[in-house]
Amino acid sequence: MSLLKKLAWAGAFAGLALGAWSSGAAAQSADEIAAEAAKKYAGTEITVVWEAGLQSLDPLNFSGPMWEKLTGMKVKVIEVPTEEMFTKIMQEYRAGTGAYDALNVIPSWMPDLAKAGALEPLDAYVDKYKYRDELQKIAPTFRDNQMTVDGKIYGFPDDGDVFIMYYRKDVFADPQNQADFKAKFGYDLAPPTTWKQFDEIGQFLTDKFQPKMYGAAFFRQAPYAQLMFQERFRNEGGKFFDANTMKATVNSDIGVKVLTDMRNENKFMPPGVETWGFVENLAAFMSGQTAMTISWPPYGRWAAGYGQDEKALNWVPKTQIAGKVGYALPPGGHPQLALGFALSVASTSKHKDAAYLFIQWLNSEKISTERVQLPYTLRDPFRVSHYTDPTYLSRWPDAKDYLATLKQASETGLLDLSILQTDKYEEALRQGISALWSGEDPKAILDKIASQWDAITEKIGVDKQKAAYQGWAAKSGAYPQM
Amino acid sequence: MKGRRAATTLGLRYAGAIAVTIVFLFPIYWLFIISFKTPDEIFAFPPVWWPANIQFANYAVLFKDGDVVAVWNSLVIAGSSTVLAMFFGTLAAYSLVRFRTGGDDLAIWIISQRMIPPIVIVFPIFLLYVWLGGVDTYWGLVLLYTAFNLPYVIWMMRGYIADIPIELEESALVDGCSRWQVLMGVVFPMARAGLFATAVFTFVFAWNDFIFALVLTRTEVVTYPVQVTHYFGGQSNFWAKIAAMSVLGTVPVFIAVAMLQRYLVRGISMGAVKG
Repeated sequence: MSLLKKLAWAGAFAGLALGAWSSGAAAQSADEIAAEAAKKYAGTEITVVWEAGLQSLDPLNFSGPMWEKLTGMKVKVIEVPTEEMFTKIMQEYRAGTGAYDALNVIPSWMPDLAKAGALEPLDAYVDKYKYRDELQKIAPTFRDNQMTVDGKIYGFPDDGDVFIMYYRKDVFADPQNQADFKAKFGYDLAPPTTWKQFDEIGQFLTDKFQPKMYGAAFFRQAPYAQLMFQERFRNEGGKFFDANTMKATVNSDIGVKVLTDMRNENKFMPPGVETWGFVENLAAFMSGQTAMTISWPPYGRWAAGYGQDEKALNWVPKTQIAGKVGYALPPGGHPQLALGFALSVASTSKHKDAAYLFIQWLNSEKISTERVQLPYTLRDPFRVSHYTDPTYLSRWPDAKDYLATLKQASETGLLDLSILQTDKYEEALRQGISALWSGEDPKAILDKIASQWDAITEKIGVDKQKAAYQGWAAKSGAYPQM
Repeated sequence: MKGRRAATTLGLRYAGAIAVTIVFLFPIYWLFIISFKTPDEIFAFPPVWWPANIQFANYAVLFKDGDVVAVWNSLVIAGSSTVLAMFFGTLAAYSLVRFRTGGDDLAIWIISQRMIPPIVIVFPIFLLYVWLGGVDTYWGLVLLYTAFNLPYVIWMMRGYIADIPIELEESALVDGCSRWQVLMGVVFPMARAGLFATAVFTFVFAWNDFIFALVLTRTEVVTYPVQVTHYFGGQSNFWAKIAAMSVLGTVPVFIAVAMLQRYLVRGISMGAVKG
């Protein structure tokens, strides 16, 4: 063989090998890239901040041990109650301790944390570890609204929280109930699409079945109810602020109507509903005491009996309504994308790359698909593929309806108000809700909230807050797209 | 007739006392009983007043998961800080009373330190502790609670020591006792009721503190009040664990108060409250 021929063969062989290698590299998924790159940090311990309670069982029992097995890195979990998470993150950041590496961040906090400098911008890491393609496959609502601040990535949306309606299919389908309802109201008994219908159906079922069953119940404790107010207020056409002056407009007629309706609805709900939180409302629905409710996605899974035998869920009362639960969008059709979590890296971390690789791996298509199906960890579908995952679709007989409703809800959902110092505005709302349940006049409550909001805005700086609000209001999920 | 009226009055008084006792004891009963219930019983409506089967699973899981370490941490921290605060506080109080150290103003200044709201100083202390390396350590919290309780101990013990006749101490000194022997042999025994009463309150202050423990711990020395908050999630409340851990956290204080009740009553009714 001539030298030229040999060179040609060698060249062809090298070309083929390079092609094979590069195609192999291109085929590598984000979780594989992260795990591979993280091996050089074997022995390193990263500290992650996670919401206390069920949420933290994910890194404690599932993802943490799995990551350690794959990479040799250790994951130390710091459990923090939700209401203390922001403070703890900020306090460690201000002190420059470097105590935290990876963070769970509620998206509405992201502007404050990012502008304070507590979060590491992630764009460079995303490119370095080739995550951009998989990142794009996160459901658009979460990807476009809960990931960036001023165009920079500060967190990966990791929990598709959204309020949806759960109702008793068997009660709604009952021929006698159907006939009685139609005779009284002139339309079919079906999941309500307006709040007027909701009120009529709720009252009808309560009148017919109480005290064995009530038409509906919600979690009414102020932190939850203020989120429901945000949703209903915008569904009815309300705007939080005048975008030009930044004056609060929450005390409009729409706001008064929403608060008044909320209080009136308590009359057909179980006694004491004003004090109910997430768990009390769940227990009532699961025991068959209520026919309709609105809540986060775990209700739908647990009511269907999914994960009922899990030890971690032994605090949840056994469902009495498996197979009888229907899923629908709440009245108005634009549910609140309430809270949620994004994964971020602390700017003061001493192990930024290691922390980043862990969150990329957690958030990747493959691993997140497994995580959102853990019955006990409260992570809800947030990627396009999660809603159509064949395994998830087969988890229980009605899982396909559940996932379809979640998908629809994510497409039409409304973002939590996310401006500077959002929590102060929400605190005013929380106080307002407490005042509502204690019997104060809705108009007076809203006037007070509006005046508190204006004072907060003045303190922050009208122009500064206006820019933040306009940025938020321009997002697709800020107000219903009519 | 008069006797019957007296009996009726007595009966009404007893009934009133029993009613008030029930009102005050009911939350404690409810806390205990929830810790023995199943989830279905906890959420049942109407409420289940007594569980069908008393079951200890809610406690077992705390031991199995290691959560109960938080009670141990609280015991170590509250216990150590109480001993230190009592020791140094009593010496300081003795000095204030017998040697008039700092005159009257120093005593007032010391007690004024106890009036600072913790929330005001918690973050500066956190920054200081970051620098000192005291965050999430036993010594960090022990030092803090000792410092925070010292003014209370000094103020209380000052009153108890002032009530001890100085002639007793002078006699002991004349008999050849050293000042330290006077303290150990005369002052401490005479102020025993006050010492126990003050120690119990000091222990309870440290035991129940939440804000410092929340800010100054992460994972290593989490105390029981902070551990209880770990059972509250945005979408989950582990009521059974909350109740069981609260019972475990309440029992040591119950025991301490029950054992020292004799001294507590005597201690509270003498010394400091006389001014």
